[in-house]
Amino acid sequence: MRRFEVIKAIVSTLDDELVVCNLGFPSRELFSIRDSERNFYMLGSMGLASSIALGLSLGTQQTVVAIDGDGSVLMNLGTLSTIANYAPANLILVIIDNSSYGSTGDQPTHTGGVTNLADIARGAGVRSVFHIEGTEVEDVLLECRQSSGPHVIVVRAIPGSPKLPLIPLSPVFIRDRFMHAVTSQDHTDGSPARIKHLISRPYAQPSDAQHHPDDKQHHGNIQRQQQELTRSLQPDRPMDLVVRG
Amino acid sequence: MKSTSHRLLESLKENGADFFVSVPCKWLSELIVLLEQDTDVTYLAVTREEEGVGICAGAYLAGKTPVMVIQNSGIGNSANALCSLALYYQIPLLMITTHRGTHGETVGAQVPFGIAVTPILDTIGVPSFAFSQGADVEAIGKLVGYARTAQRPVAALLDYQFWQNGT
Repeated sequence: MRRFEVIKAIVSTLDDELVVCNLGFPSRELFSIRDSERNFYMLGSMGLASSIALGLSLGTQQTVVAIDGDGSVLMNLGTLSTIANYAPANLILVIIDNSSYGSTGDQPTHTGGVTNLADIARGAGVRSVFHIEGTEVEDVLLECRQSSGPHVIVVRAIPGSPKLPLIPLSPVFIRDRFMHAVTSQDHTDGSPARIKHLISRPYAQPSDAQHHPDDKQHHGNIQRQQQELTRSLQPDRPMDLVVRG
Repeated sequence: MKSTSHRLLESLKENGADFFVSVPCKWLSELIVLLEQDTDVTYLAVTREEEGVGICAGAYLAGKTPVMVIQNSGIGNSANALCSLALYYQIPLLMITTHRGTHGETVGAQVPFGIAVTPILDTIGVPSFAFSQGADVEAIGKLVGYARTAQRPVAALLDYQFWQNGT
Protein backbone atom coordinates (compact mmCIF):
# COMPACT_ATOMS: atom_id res chain seq x y z
CA MET A 1 0.00 0.00 0.00
CA ARG A 2 1.14 3.51 -0.74
CA ARG A 3 0.72 6.34 1.74
CA PHE A 4 -2.36 7.58 -0.12
CA GLU A 5 -4.20 4.30 0.46
CA VAL A 6 -3.09 4.21 4.12
CA ILE A 7 -4.44 7.74 4.69
CA LYS A 8 -7.68 6.69 2.98
CA ALA A 9 -7.96 3.78 5.42
CA ILE A 10 -7.24 6.09 8.38
CA VAL A 11 -9.88 8.59 7.26
CA SER A 12 -12.48 5.85 6.75
CA THR A 13 -11.97 4.83 10.38
CA LEU A 14 -12.13 8.30 11.89
CA ASP A 15 -15.25 9.77 13.39
CA ASP A 16 -14.75 13.30 14.76
CA GLU A 17 -11.12 13.06 15.90
CA LEU A 18 -8.77 16.00 15.50
CA VAL A 19 -6.08 15.29 12.88
CA VAL A 20 -2.62 16.85 12.66
CA CYS A 21 -1.06 15.97 9.30
CA ASN A 22 2.56 16.04 8.23
CA LEU A 23 3.62 18.55 5.59
CA GLY A 24 3.94 17.97 1.86
CA PHE A 25 2.22 15.10 0.09
CA PRO A 26 0.59 13.63 3.22
CA SER A 27 -1.37 16.86 3.77
CA ARG A 28 -2.19 17.20 0.07
CA GLU A 29 -3.45 13.62 0.06
CA LEU A 30 -5.55 14.10 3.19
CA PHE A 31 -7.00 17.33 1.76
CA SER A 32 -7.95 15.54 -1.47
CA ILE A 33 -9.46 12.53 0.34
CA ARG A 34 -11.48 14.48 2.89
CA ASP A 35 -11.04 18.11 3.82
CA SER A 36 -12.37 18.95 7.26
CA GLU A 37 -12.26 21.82 9.73
CA ARG A 38 -10.88 19.18 12.11
CA ASN A 39 -7.75 18.71 9.97
CA PHE A 40 -4.64 20.75 10.77
CA TYR A 41 -2.49 20.75 7.65
CA MET A 42 1.19 21.44 8.20
CA LEU A 43 2.76 23.58 5.49
CA GLY A 44 6.27 23.75 6.97
CA SER A 45 8.27 22.83 10.11
CA MET A 46 9.12 19.29 9.08
CA GLY A 47 9.35 16.91 12.01
CA LEU A 48 6.82 18.61 14.26
CA ALA A 49 3.52 16.84 13.48
CA SER A 50 3.97 14.56 16.50
CA SER A 51 4.89 17.50 18.75
CA ILE A 52 1.98 19.68 17.61
CA ALA A 53 -0.35 16.73 18.24
CA LEU A 54 1.19 16.24 21.70
CA GLY A 55 0.60 19.89 22.68
CA LEU A 56 -2.92 19.74 21.29
CA SER A 57 -3.76 16.52 23.12
CA LEU A 58 -2.71 18.09 26.44
CA GLY A 59 -5.08 21.01 25.91
CA THR A 60 -8.24 19.14 24.94
CA GLN A 61 -10.18 16.04 25.98
CA GLN A 62 -10.81 15.16 22.32
CA THR A 63 -8.89 12.37 20.61
CA VAL A 64 -5.97 13.60 18.53
CA VAL A 65 -4.59 11.60 15.61
CA ALA A 66 -1.23 12.61 14.13
CA ILE A 67 -0.47 11.40 10.60
CA ASP A 68 3.31 11.43 10.44
CA GLY A 69 6.08 9.91 8.35
CA ASP A 70 9.37 8.08 8.90
CA GLY A 71 11.59 10.93 7.66
CA SER A 72 9.74 13.41 9.81
CA VAL A 73 9.87 11.29 12.96
CA LEU A 74 13.58 10.61 12.45
CA MET A 75 14.06 14.38 12.49
CA ASN A 76 12.43 14.73 15.92
CA LEU A 77 12.99 11.45 17.80
CA GLY A 78 13.21 13.21 21.16
CA THR A 79 9.50 13.94 21.11
CA LEU A 80 8.75 10.19 21.35
CA SER A 81 10.29 10.31 24.83
CA THR A 82 8.26 13.40 25.70
CA ILE A 83 5.07 11.65 24.51
CA ALA A 84 5.96 8.54 26.55
CA ASN A 85 6.70 10.47 29.74
CA TYR A 86 3.65 12.77 29.74
CA ALA A 87 1.52 10.02 28.19
CA PRO A 88 -1.67 11.77 27.06
CA ALA A 89 -4.38 9.09 26.87
CA ASN A 90 -6.07 10.83 23.92
CA LEU A 91 -3.10 10.77 21.51
CA ILE A 92 -2.66 8.37 18.59
CA LEU A 93 0.50 8.81 16.51
CA VAL A 94 0.35 7.04 13.15
CA ILE A 95 3.73 6.86 11.41
CA ILE A 96 3.39 5.89 7.76
CA ASP A 97 6.79 4.33 7.11
CA ASN A 98 7.57 4.15 3.40
CA SER A 99 11.34 4.35 4.05
CA SER A 100 11.57 7.45 1.92
CA TYR A 101 11.43 11.23 2.00
CA GLY A 102 8.25 11.24 -0.07
CA SER A 103 7.82 14.97 -0.61
CA THR A 104 11.35 15.63 -1.82
CA GLY A 105 11.81 12.90 -4.44
CA ASP A 106 11.67 9.62 -2.52
CA GLN A 107 15.23 9.65 -1.27
CA PRO A 108 15.74 6.65 1.07
CA THR A 109 15.55 7.03 4.86
CA HIS A 110 17.31 4.85 7.43
CA THR A 111 14.15 2.85 8.13
CA GLY A 112 14.94 1.08 4.86
CA GLY A 113 18.23 0.05 6.49
CA VAL A 114 18.64 -1.26 10.02
CA THR A 115 16.46 1.28 11.87
CA ASN A 116 13.11 0.24 13.36
CA LEU A 117 10.79 3.07 14.47
CA ALA A 118 8.51 0.77 16.48
CA ASP A 119 11.52 -0.38 18.52
CA ILE A 120 12.57 3.24 18.99
CA ALA A 121 9.07 4.16 20.23
CA ARG A 122 9.16 1.23 22.67
CA GLY A 123 12.64 2.26 23.80
CA ALA A 124 11.35 5.78 24.36
CA GLY A 125 8.87 4.28 26.79
CA VAL A 126 5.65 4.18 24.77
CA ARG A 127 3.72 1.15 26.02
CA SER A 128 1.22 0.74 23.20
CA VAL A 129 3.16 0.31 19.97
CA PHE A 130 1.94 -1.44 16.82
CA HIS A 131 4.03 -2.35 13.78
CA ILE A 132 1.57 -3.27 11.04
CA GLU A 133 0.79 -3.52 7.35
CA GLY A 134 -1.52 -1.08 5.61
CA THR A 135 -4.29 -3.65 5.47
CA GLU A 136 -4.43 -3.72 9.29
CA VAL A 137 -4.82 0.04 9.77
CA GLU A 138 -8.60 0.10 10.19
CA ASP A 139 -8.72 -2.68 12.81
CA VAL A 140 -5.79 -1.34 14.83
CA LEU A 141 -7.03 2.24 14.74
CA LEU A 142 -10.47 1.14 15.94
CA GLU A 143 -8.82 -0.76 18.78
CA CYS A 144 -6.70 2.27 19.73
CA ARG A 145 -9.69 4.60 19.72
CA GLN A 146 -11.35 2.39 22.33
CA SER A 147 -8.39 2.20 24.72
CA SER A 148 -6.19 4.63 26.61
CA GLY A 149 -3.12 5.92 24.79
CA PRO A 150 -0.76 7.22 23.90
CA HIS A 151 -0.60 4.80 20.98
CA VAL A 152 2.09 4.70 18.31
CA ILE A 153 1.17 2.83 15.11
CA VAL A 154 3.97 2.28 12.60
CA VAL A 155 2.44 1.34 9.24
CA ARG A 156 4.64 -0.23 6.56
CA ALA A 157 4.04 1.33 3.16
CA ILE A 158 5.68 1.59 -0.24
CA PRO A 159 6.95 4.89 -1.67
CA GLY A 160 5.09 6.97 -4.22
CA SER A 161 2.40 9.63 -4.31
CA PRO A 162 -0.32 10.60 -6.77
CA LYS A 163 0.15 13.99 -8.43
CA LEU A 164 -1.83 16.48 -6.38
CA PRO A 165 -1.88 20.29 -6.29
CA LEU A 166 -0.84 22.42 -3.32
CA ILE A 167 -3.49 22.94 -0.67
CA PRO A 168 -5.35 26.16 -1.57
CA LEU A 169 -5.71 27.32 2.03
CA SER A 170 -3.70 29.99 3.82
CA PRO A 171 -1.99 29.08 7.10
CA VAL A 172 -4.08 31.57 9.06
CA PHE A 173 -7.28 30.15 7.56
CA ILE A 174 -6.18 26.62 8.51
CA ARG A 175 -5.39 27.86 12.03
CA ASP A 176 -8.64 29.76 12.59
CA ARG A 177 -10.87 27.07 11.14
CA PHE A 178 -9.15 24.36 13.19
CA MET A 179 -9.20 26.37 16.43
CA HIS A 180 -12.87 27.04 15.97
CA ALA A 181 -13.50 23.32 15.48
CA VAL A 182 -11.50 22.45 18.62
CA THR A 183 -12.99 25.10 20.87
CA SER A 184 -16.59 24.69 19.72
CA GLN A 185 -16.40 20.94 20.39
CA ASP A 186 -14.82 21.59 23.79
CA HIS A 187 -17.63 24.11 24.33
CA THR A 188 -20.13 21.34 23.61
CA ASP A 189 -18.27 19.16 26.08
CA GLY A 190 -18.95 21.82 28.69
CA SER A 191 -15.43 22.82 29.63
CA PRO A 192 -15.68 26.30 31.22
CA ALA A 193 -12.06 27.08 30.37
CA ARG A 194 -12.71 26.42 26.68
CA ILE A 195 -15.85 28.53 26.65
CA LYS A 196 -13.86 31.47 28.01
CA HIS A 197 -11.17 31.00 25.36
CA LEU A 198 -13.75 30.86 22.59
CA ILE A 199 -15.29 34.13 23.69
CA SER A 200 -11.94 35.86 24.07
CA ARG A 201 -10.82 35.01 20.53
CA PRO A 202 -12.36 37.37 18.01
CA TYR A 203 -10.15 35.98 15.24
CA ALA A 204 -11.60 32.44 15.53
CA GLN A 205 -14.50 33.39 13.32
CA PRO A 206 -17.27 30.82 12.86
CA SER A 207 -18.10 32.42 9.50
CA ASP A 208 -14.72 31.30 8.13
CA ALA A 209 -15.56 27.68 8.83
CA GLN A 210 -18.91 27.70 7.08
CA HIS A 211 -17.58 28.15 3.55
CA HIS A 212 -17.05 25.10 1.45
CA PRO A 213 -13.79 24.98 -0.56
CA ASP A 214 -15.85 25.15 -3.76
CA ASP A 215 -17.55 28.32 -2.67
CA LYS A 216 -16.40 31.36 -4.68
CA GLN A 217 -16.67 33.59 -1.65
CA HIS A 218 -14.49 31.16 0.26
CA HIS A 219 -11.79 31.41 -2.41
CA GLY A 220 -12.12 35.18 -2.23
CA ASN A 221 -11.55 34.99 1.50
CA ILE A 222 -8.53 32.79 1.03
CA GLN A 223 -7.07 35.15 -1.55
CA ARG A 224 -7.65 38.14 0.71
CA GLN A 225 -6.07 36.32 3.64
CA GLN A 226 -3.09 35.35 1.56
CA GLN A 227 -2.66 38.92 0.30
CA GLU A 228 -2.97 40.18 3.85
CA LEU A 229 -0.40 37.66 5.01
CA THR A 230 1.99 38.48 2.19
CA ARG A 231 1.76 42.15 3.10
CA SER A 232 2.25 41.42 6.79
CA LEU A 233 5.39 39.42 6.10
CA GLN A 234 7.11 42.32 4.32
CA PRO A 235 9.96 43.20 6.68
CA ASP A 236 9.58 46.94 6.11
CA ARG A 237 5.96 47.03 7.22
CA PRO A 238 5.18 48.37 10.69
CA MET A 239 4.00 45.84 13.26
CA ASP A 240 0.45 47.14 13.42
CA LEU A 241 -0.31 45.62 10.02
CA VAL A 242 0.35 42.21 11.49
CA VAL A 243 -2.11 42.72 14.32
CA ARG A 244 -5.43 41.07 13.67
CA GLY A 245 -8.69 42.52 14.96
CA MET B 1 11.57 38.64 49.70
CA LYS B 2 10.50 36.41 46.83
CA SER B 3 13.16 35.49 44.33
CA THR B 4 13.28 36.88 40.79
CA SER B 5 12.32 33.47 39.37
CA HIS B 6 9.32 33.28 41.71
CA ARG B 7 8.10 36.78 40.85
CA LEU B 8 8.67 36.16 37.14
CA LEU B 9 6.48 33.04 37.19
CA GLU B 10 3.78 34.88 39.15
CA SER B 11 3.82 37.71 36.64
CA LEU B 12 3.55 35.34 33.65
CA LYS B 13 0.61 33.52 35.26
CA GLU B 14 -1.14 36.79 36.16
CA ASN B 15 -0.97 37.67 32.49
CA GLY B 16 -2.66 34.44 31.44
CA ALA B 17 0.20 32.01 30.76
CA ASP B 18 -1.05 28.51 31.57
CA PHE B 19 1.15 26.16 29.51
CA PHE B 20 4.93 25.99 29.91
CA VAL B 21 7.69 23.97 28.31
CA SER B 22 11.38 24.18 29.17
CA VAL B 23 14.83 23.14 28.10
CA PRO B 24 17.35 23.66 30.91
CA CYS B 25 19.91 26.39 31.46
CA LYS B 26 21.94 26.80 34.64
CA TRP B 27 20.31 30.20 35.13
CA LEU B 28 16.86 28.60 34.91
CA SER B 29 17.43 26.06 37.71
CA GLU B 30 15.10 27.72 40.19
CA LEU B 31 12.39 28.63 37.65
CA ILE B 32 12.26 25.05 36.38
CA VAL B 33 11.87 23.68 39.92
CA LEU B 34 9.02 26.16 40.48
CA LEU B 35 7.36 25.03 37.25
CA GLU B 36 7.70 21.37 38.21
CA GLN B 37 5.92 22.10 41.49
CA ASP B 38 3.24 24.41 40.08
CA THR B 39 -0.18 22.78 40.00
CA ASP B 40 -1.95 25.72 38.28
CA VAL B 41 -0.25 25.27 34.92
CA THR B 42 0.59 22.51 32.45
CA TYR B 43 4.34 22.01 32.38
CA LEU B 44 6.53 19.78 30.21
CA ALA B 45 10.28 19.31 30.11
CA VAL B 46 11.02 18.91 26.39
CA THR B 47 14.07 17.51 24.64
CA ARG B 48 14.80 20.35 22.24
CA GLU B 49 13.48 23.86 21.65
CA GLU B 50 12.27 23.06 18.13
CA GLU B 51 10.06 20.36 19.63
CA GLY B 52 8.94 22.94 22.19
CA VAL B 53 7.73 25.28 19.45
CA GLY B 54 5.63 22.44 18.00
CA ILE B 55 4.17 21.46 21.38
CA CYS B 56 3.38 25.10 22.22
CA ALA B 57 1.73 25.61 18.82
CA GLY B 58 -0.47 22.56 19.44
CA ALA B 59 -1.37 23.82 22.92
CA TYR B 60 -2.29 27.21 21.44
CA LEU B 61 -4.58 25.51 18.91
CA ALA B 62 -6.37 23.96 21.90
CA GLY B 63 -6.85 27.36 23.53
CA LYS B 64 -3.85 27.43 25.85
CA THR B 65 -1.48 30.37 26.36
CA PRO B 66 1.99 28.87 25.97
CA VAL B 67 5.36 30.08 27.24
CA MET B 68 8.70 28.48 26.37
CA VAL B 69 11.51 28.73 28.96
CA ILE B 70 14.89 28.23 27.29
CA GLN B 71 18.49 29.25 26.90
CA ASN B 72 19.27 31.56 23.97
CA SER B 73 21.07 28.71 22.19
CA GLY B 74 17.59 27.22 21.75
CA ILE B 75 16.66 30.03 19.39
CA GLY B 76 19.24 28.56 17.02
CA ASN B 77 17.78 25.08 17.50
CA SER B 78 14.30 26.27 16.60
CA ALA B 79 14.75 28.97 13.95
CA ASN B 80 12.98 27.04 11.19
CA ALA B 81 10.05 26.09 13.42
CA LEU B 82 9.73 29.72 14.53
CA CYS B 83 9.58 30.78 10.86
CA SER B 84 7.56 28.07 9.12
CA LEU B 85 5.22 27.25 12.01
CA ALA B 86 4.89 30.04 14.59
CA LEU B 87 5.37 33.02 12.26
CA TYR B 88 3.67 31.47 9.22
CA TYR B 89 0.53 30.46 11.13
CA GLN B 90 0.71 33.54 13.38
CA ILE B 91 0.99 31.59 16.63
CA PRO B 92 1.57 33.73 19.76
CA LEU B 93 4.44 32.29 21.82
CA LEU B 94 6.44 34.05 24.51
CA MET B 95 9.98 32.72 24.88
CA ILE B 96 11.60 33.45 28.26
CA THR B 97 15.21 33.22 27.20
CA THR B 98 18.40 33.43 29.22
CA HIS B 99 20.88 35.61 27.37
CA ARG B 100 24.07 33.68 27.81
CA GLY B 101 27.34 34.79 26.31
CA THR B 102 27.03 38.39 27.45
CA HIS B 103 28.69 40.16 30.39
CA GLY B 104 29.17 37.88 33.37
CA GLU B 105 29.55 34.81 31.15
CA THR B 106 32.19 32.28 32.16
CA VAL B 107 31.64 29.68 29.42
CA GLY B 108 33.42 30.63 26.20
CA ALA B 109 31.25 28.51 23.92
CA GLN B 110 28.22 30.63 24.90
CA VAL B 111 29.72 33.83 23.51
CA PRO B 112 29.30 33.37 19.71
CA PHE B 113 25.57 32.69 19.85
CA GLY B 114 25.13 35.21 22.65
CA ILE B 115 26.34 37.81 20.16
CA ALA B 116 24.32 36.34 17.27
CA VAL B 117 20.92 35.80 18.89
CA THR B 118 19.51 39.32 18.69
CA PRO B 119 20.41 39.89 15.00
CA ILE B 120 18.99 36.44 14.17
CA LEU B 121 15.69 37.25 15.90
CA ASP B 122 15.59 40.61 14.09
CA THR B 123 16.27 38.90 10.76
CA ILE B 124 13.49 36.33 11.07
CA GLY B 125 10.98 38.88 12.39
CA VAL B 126 10.66 37.78 16.01
CA PRO B 127 10.42 40.85 18.27
CA SER B 128 12.91 40.66 21.14
CA PHE B 129 13.17 42.69 24.32
CA ALA B 130 16.20 42.78 26.64
CA PHE B 131 15.84 42.99 30.42
CA SER B 132 18.49 43.39 33.12
CA GLN B 133 16.62 44.17 36.33
CA GLY B 134 14.60 41.96 38.65
CA ALA B 135 12.05 44.79 38.78
CA ASP B 136 11.38 44.13 35.08
CA VAL B 137 9.25 41.05 35.86
CA GLU B 138 6.05 43.11 35.50
CA ALA B 139 7.00 44.25 32.00
CA ILE B 140 8.08 40.74 31.02
CA GLY B 141 4.72 39.34 32.12
CA LYS B 142 2.95 41.83 29.87
CA LEU B 143 4.72 40.29 26.87
CA VAL B 144 2.25 37.38 27.16
CA GLY B 145 -0.42 39.82 25.99
CA TYR B 146 1.90 41.42 23.48
CA ALA B 147 2.54 38.05 21.79
CA ARG B 148 -1.24 37.62 21.50
CA THR B 149 -1.63 41.12 20.07
CA ALA B 150 1.26 40.70 17.65
CA GLN B 151 0.13 37.16 16.73
CA ARG B 152 3.68 35.91 16.62
CA PRO B 153 6.49 34.52 18.76
CA VAL B 154 8.19 37.07 21.01
CA ALA B 155 11.48 36.71 22.90
CA ALA B 156 12.43 38.18 26.30
CA LEU B 157 16.22 38.09 26.61
CA LEU B 158 17.21 38.05 30.28
CA ASP B 159 20.89 38.68 30.93
CA TYR B 160 23.27 37.76 33.75
CA GLN B 161 22.39 40.85 35.75
CA PHE B 162 18.66 40.02 35.66
CA TRP B 163 19.19 36.67 37.35
CA GLN B 164 21.42 38.21 40.07
CA ASN B 165 18.72 40.51 41.41
CA GLY B 166 16.70 39.29 44.35
CA THR B 167 17.81 35.68 44.18
